[in-house]
Amino acid sequence: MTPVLLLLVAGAATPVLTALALVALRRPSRLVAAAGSGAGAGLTALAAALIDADVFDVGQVISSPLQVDAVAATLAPALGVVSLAALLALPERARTLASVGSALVLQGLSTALLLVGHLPLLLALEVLKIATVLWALRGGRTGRIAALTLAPSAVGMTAVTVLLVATDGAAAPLSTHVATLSDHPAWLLLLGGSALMRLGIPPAHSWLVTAFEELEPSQVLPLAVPASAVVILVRLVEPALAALGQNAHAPIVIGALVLALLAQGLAFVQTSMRRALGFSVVAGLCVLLVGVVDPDPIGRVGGVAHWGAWVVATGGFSLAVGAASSRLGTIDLRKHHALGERAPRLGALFVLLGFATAAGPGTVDFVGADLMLHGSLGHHWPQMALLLMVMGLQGLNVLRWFFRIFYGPAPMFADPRERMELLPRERVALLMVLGLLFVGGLVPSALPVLGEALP
Amino acid sequence: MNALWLPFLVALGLPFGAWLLLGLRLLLVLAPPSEALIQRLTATVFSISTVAFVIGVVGLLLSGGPLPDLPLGALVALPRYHIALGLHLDGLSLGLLGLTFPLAGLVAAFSARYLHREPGFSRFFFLLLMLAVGLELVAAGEGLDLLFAGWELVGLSSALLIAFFHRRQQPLDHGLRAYATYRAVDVALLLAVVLSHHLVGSVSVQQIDAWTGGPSALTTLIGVLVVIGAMGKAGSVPFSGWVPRAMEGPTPSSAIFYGALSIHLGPFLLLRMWPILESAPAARALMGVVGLLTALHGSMVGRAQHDIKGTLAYASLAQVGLMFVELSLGFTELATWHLFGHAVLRANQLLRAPSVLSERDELLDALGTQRPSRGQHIEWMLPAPIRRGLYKLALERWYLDELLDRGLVGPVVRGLEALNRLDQRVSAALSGPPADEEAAAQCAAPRVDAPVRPELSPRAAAGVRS
Repeated sequence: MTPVLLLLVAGAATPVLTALALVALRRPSRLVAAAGSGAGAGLTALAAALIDADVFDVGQVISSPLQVDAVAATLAPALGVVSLAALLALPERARTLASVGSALVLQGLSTALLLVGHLPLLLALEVLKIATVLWALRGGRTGRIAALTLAPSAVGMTAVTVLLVATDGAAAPLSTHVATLSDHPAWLLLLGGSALMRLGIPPAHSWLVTAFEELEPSQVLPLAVPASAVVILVRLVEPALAALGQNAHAPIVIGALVLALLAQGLAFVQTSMRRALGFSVVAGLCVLLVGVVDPDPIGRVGGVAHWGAWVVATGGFSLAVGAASSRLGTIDLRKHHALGERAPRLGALFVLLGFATAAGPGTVDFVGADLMLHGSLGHHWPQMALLLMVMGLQGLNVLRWFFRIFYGPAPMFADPRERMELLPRERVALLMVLGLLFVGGLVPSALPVLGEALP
Repeated sequence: MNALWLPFLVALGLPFGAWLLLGLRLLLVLAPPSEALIQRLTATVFSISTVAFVIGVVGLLLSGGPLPDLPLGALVALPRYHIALGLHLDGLSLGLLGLTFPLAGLVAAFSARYLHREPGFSRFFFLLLMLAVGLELVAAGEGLDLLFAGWELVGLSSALLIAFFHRRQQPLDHGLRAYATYRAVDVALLLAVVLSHHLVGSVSVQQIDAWTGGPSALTTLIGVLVVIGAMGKAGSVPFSGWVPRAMEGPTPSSAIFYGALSIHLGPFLLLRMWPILESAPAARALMGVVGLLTALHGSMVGRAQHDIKGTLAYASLAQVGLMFVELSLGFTELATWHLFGHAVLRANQLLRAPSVLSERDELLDALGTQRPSRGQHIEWMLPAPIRRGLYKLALERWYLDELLDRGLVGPVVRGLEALNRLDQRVSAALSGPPADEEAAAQCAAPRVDAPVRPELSPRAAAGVRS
């Protein structure tokens, strides 16, 4: 095992071990959880930095069944940072062993999933992830609806894995499975469909929207961060589609963009901020899908950069929404809440992180979206127009939400001198995410995926 | 690096640095900086930038040659694609920058008194600096990517300044409307940028200037998209509805945005993309028709306005419409001079707008009994019923907003609301009814934009913090 792979494995293992320690102690200590999550994020970031500095090469299988490539090196630190920020911003009343433990376990599993080059192991980790999500959501509406969506998705993925292992053997590399999948379009359809269900693409979006509606965004975030389904799409489905021909991607891409546009439209007409956030996340997932199955190499590089940038930006924005919710209670978007005068810095962070989710200038996603646009040009240029409309609507939604929450006539009984500013831990979480987005936007070549060719 | 770039780098870098500094201060330090500090900062920045810019222009004139582009590296460098970072200065950029630095400085000086002790004083100056940075990118960005980034910054700062007096409902609605227009037309502009890359092989301004291809379907498409992109910022028909509404913002920001600079970015974009537009006769025809309609709309509706800022807004629209017509006829030089001359005149008029009544009284006092008779206009030649009809048409701003709201936005929103109710029913069927009563009511009732009713949330009333 090479040192860089060792670092990444340690980055995956540390949060899981921390979660086990917390369970053993029966104490959901924020400090210990943040330390474990931060150590995991730091180790993966160190690995990415070593790759960036050309100390280690990427893009090749180093050691089966584990591998490291530009995708893993880009995404692993992003997932770690989001998890750390969510743990820091978790409201006190939601700090339970279940929420802290599941966040840490999911961080570790998501990181590990990026390193796996072996289908049975990939599936085992994915099933473990789904089980963790369902455990965290157990009971209540969200749990029921999540079970109805995620369980069939796990069954579908398991069925295809069994078929592939029976055909190619358990030790076969992913490239062999890709060839088999392209020979069996029905299996490909089942695997792709299961991955889309897992991801939360409409019509399988209800669990995600309900989760955002009913739980704190900092609780939902670790459960909703797209990792495993996208890994399956990137490593198996997209190459198999490419083997079937260029036009095989078109229905997925156009369909996903139409769904994204609808989801953004639905976000616009919501009256509850958290539900609107849920639809905005669903729209983002659809765009993510477009990027990672793009047949053009430039578009796909942009898609992976967008994946990382969107995860971080949406994470930060969700935490800003959560911070506003914890100050105002249920946020009714039919009214103005005038929070801006009482929490100006939260307002500034809300708008900055919101525009980062809409590929605002100066952020990493501005570069990712630009590459996706240029990539789509050679194949389906109407796809470009749809993509732009989705991002345009996201920007409009963000400004509308900002005006509703932070501007407007002050509530009659509110004391304008009352400070409702961010707590230090919330400030650290949001500033960390914001810094990452803007530093990455100004120096995007630091992202391994932009520094190296995709495998 | 060519030494001639040094003064320009100082001129361009200072507003950017001040913007970042003020932004970080507002984000990281709880107490906002004092008015005096902000005033000193902006006065120093724009004064030095103006002087440095003049020195740079003089140096450029003395050197007698064009300034070579200044590459600043690449944002992204992939085998088949790269986003270059660099600066490009030509006559057009120098003209826009030559207006930006002194006008921004003037507006900053004016605003220091105009907004004295106003809540949001520091926010205003932050947004003014953001506008300056956006304009710098539009004017001096070496590629269309940077131009678009600047274009977005200008649009966002414009919407936030329209909503500056945010305790009232109207500025918020108007800011959102302006931003919705920008976002809609920016789709066309970004499409044009990407397609230009396909056509020219790069989005570098220098390469677009050197492009000599002939007319084709792609040039027509790019041309039409560029014209649509320009129409949004220029407030051309049918996107004119946001311009009078934008006057809700503070007067100094109206002067610099809708009198001087932002509204002229439409013609600026057309001039920047002229080599492609020249080969797109259909796009130029569209430009001419839009320009003519906008000029007619602006002059007609402007006459029915009852406030000076609204009148000036429509007068600006009419002039920008004429610039579109000039460009469609190929009079690029005329349009360029028209653009810069009009920007200066209109900024002056808007800055004087708050004192227009007192100036009028002084003028009448000075004239004494020698008052001019009421001017005879061409409309008096028309029969009274037609005059009344035209007046109503002008008063209702040609019903453009109603058409847009009832014909497009309304049906789309109603369709989405129906879809939302369906989605909630499906979720409820899958998982049981929503947990709280409010969510259940949302399933049943259509969304209605209720009037704002200030009230205290239960959590805030209890003083609950996270």
